[in-house]
Amino acid sequence: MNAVVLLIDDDRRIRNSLGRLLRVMSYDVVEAADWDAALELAAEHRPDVVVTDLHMPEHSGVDIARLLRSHPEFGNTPIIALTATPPRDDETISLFHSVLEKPCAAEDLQRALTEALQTHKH
Amino acid sequence: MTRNGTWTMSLTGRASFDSAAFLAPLSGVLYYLAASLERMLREPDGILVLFPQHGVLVALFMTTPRERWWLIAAAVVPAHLIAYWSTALPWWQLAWQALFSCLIATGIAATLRVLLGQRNPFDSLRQFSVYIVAAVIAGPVLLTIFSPTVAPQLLSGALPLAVENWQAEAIASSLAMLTWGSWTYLALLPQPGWLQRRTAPQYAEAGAIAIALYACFHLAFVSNAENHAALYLFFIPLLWQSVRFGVHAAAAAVTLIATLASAADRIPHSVRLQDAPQAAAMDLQIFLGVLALTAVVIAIVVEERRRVAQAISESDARYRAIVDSQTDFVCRSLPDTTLTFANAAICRYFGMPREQVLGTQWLEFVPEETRAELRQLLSRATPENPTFMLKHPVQLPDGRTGWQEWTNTAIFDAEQRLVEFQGTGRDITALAQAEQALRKKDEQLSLIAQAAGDLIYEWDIVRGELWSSSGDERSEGTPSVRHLSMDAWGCCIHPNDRDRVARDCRQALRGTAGTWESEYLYIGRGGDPPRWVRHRAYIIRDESGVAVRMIGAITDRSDHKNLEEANRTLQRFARLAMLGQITASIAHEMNQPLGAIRYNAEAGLLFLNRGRYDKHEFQAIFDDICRDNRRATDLIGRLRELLHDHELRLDSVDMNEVINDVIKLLRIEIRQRHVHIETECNELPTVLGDYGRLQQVLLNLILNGMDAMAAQPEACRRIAIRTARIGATRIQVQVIDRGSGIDPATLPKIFDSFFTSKDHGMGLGLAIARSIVEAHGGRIWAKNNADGTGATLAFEMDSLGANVMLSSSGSSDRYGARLN
Repeated sequence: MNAVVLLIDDDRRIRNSLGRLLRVMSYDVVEAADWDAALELAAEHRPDVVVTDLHMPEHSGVDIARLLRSHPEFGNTPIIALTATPPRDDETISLFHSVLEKPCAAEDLQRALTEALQTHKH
Repeated sequence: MTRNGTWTMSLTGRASFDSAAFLAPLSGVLYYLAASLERMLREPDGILVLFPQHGVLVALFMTTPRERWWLIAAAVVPAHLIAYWSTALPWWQLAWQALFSCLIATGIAATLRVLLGQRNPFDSLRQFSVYIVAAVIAGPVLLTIFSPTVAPQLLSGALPLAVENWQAEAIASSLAMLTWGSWTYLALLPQPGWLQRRTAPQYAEAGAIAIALYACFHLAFVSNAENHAALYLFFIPLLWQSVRFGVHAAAAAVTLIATLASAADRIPHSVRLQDAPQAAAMDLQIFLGVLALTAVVIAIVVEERRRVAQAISESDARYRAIVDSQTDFVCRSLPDTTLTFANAAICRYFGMPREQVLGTQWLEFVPEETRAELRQLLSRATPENPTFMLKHPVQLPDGRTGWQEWTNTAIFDAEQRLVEFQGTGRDITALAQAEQALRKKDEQLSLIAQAAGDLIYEWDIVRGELWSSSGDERSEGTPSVRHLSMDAWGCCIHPNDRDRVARDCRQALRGTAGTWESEYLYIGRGGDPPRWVRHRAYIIRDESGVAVRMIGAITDRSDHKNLEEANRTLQRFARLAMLGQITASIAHEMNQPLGAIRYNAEAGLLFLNRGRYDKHEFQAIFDDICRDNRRATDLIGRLRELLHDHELRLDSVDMNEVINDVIKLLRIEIRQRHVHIETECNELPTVLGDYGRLQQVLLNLILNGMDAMAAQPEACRRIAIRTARIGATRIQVQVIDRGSGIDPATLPKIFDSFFTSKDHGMGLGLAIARSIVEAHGGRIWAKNNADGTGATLAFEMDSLGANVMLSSSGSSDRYGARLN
């Protein structure tokens, strides 16, 4: 059974392309455009890993990460951040399993996902 | 004379008679008198000396048009019959005599008419020669053959008698032509000379001549008749009067003498013709003929000379009158400039009588300081180059100084010595003054132009002449276009600008434009540093539109140009600075499509690596890649628009779209700074504007608002953007922040360059926003909000609808389609 990835990005085109890539990598992907959709889908699909954009209107990826960390069910679910401007403060960085500079290479993403899933299983 | 049918009666010199009515009686009477005289002269011995009636008849025919000759003939025949009736000759012989008279007279008159036309035989020696040959010699000699006393003898074979009669009659007729013929003809002329008004001394002289003539007559024919030499005494008074009183008087005198001489035998004591009557008669005839001929010829010659002299004197008088009536000066002077002739204009000019002017050296009229120079000029005249011009001042009688211009010719004799100067001249005081005034004006203009730092020029395109305010002394440092041609001028223009400027100028000259303007880098002719100049000119055209003159000014624009250059650099710099403030947004905007492309490409590669060749999947991947690529290109285009350093590119622009685009571009900044942006975009008419520049305005206003709220708590960082129509023709955009507001003291200055209240700002953003809005014909302002929180920055500009209303109805459709 494939791992489930929750993909959060306000940009539809990124969701489309990244979603396509993740599927080729044999993940099951659920896509959310914002905070509300993300929470809803997370509750529904119980993702193994979350991949999110950091810069989004309304609630940013950091907000979502904080929320998930504090969530009883998803507190341990690894989150991978994709961003053009990576955060500098450790507190923010510590929210994520890894922070990838986008656009990232497919193998970097693959590696990050693999590590995150292994960590999650243990 | 009688050509037009009117005959002026010569005896009175005034009354005119219709020739048809009076010709016949006059002819009859004159003929009768002449014939009676002839009979009287012939009595008692029948010796013929003179035929007065032949002379009278010739004169009548000569002064009458040919078509009326029959009238004369018709009057002559009865007059002859009456005059000779008592001679007891048979009537046919009398008629023959009358017809013979007419024959000889018409023959001579017709010949003269052919040879002389209407000309007076006594006017010139040449015409008189014709009269002598035709009337005095040929006519009488040839036609007397038909005389009733010659023809019958010839026919009957009595040759010696015929010759004798022929000789006597021919000579009598000849003499009549010289005497009675001449006198009658001259008396019948419309304006006979002897009727002219004479002076008292002339009457006295005429009287003296008459007395002398009578004395001669008495001596020759009465008291001293045996002495033939006495006859020659006649020459003295006769030649005297010929010289003094003309042809007419001479003709009258010789007629009188001839008639009296012919009648001399009838005077008691006269014995002249008694011994050998016929031979003596012929002697007398020859003598009278010579006498008459001499007198008349001399009179004609004298009169001819007098006429020539008179003509010369008249022409001379006319010439002098012309010279004197000239307003130009005419003079002659000796080599030392002593005047020998001066026309009235010169005398008037100097206010001196001619006698005083003549004998004066004209150099004395010239101010002393000029004389040496003029003397030198005068001495330069040579026989090869005798004509020269002088322009010099003269001292006027009232103390003023006038100016004269002279064209002089030096006259040299055969030895090439200077004899005199002849000159024509005129007063040019007014002209000289005008020239002086013009020169002064030129100098003033030049001074003004120099003071203004401009070069002013006038170019006569047709003649290729140029006047420019730049004197030679300035030609080094300032653009100088003296002696300008297109090429020479072109050489002063920097090679980068040369072709453009020359082409523009030629085009303007060829076209119909009235002005031409250009800016270019002027490099001059020397090694001066190049400078920017503005060249503005008026083009003056002739009636056919051809450019004939160009009047213009070349202004040094180096300072302006440098400032403009600096301004442009500053603006470019400000745009880059502004871009620096929004790099996060730009990076994000750029990364999104690039990221999508990258993911799609990676996905495609993975598909391939895993041997999955789903056609639909690949199609979707490539479609997405193309679309994202386009998105990235669009963004680059937008950025370029924002950064590009170009002149305003006007198009119809929807201001709401500009606002949305700018907010999109600022999205990341807005989020990073935790600013909340509200838009209240009401429906707007489009404006005529430059999309990129208007984006720049909005960017600057929003960034300014965000900066203003940096110190505020995140929750309070709100910016409202409102658009609205103002009236029918304007739109307004407001950017309302909730910052700390603007210090009222600095409020008027916030749109000035380099004014800033921020630590990191350059103070250019708002200044540039203002310059852009103003370039669009709008205005921009700032105010603190009424509720005390923050400030509002707003601008207003005309909508395209306003342009439609302002422009002509013809162009409204063009814009109408673009309106909402």
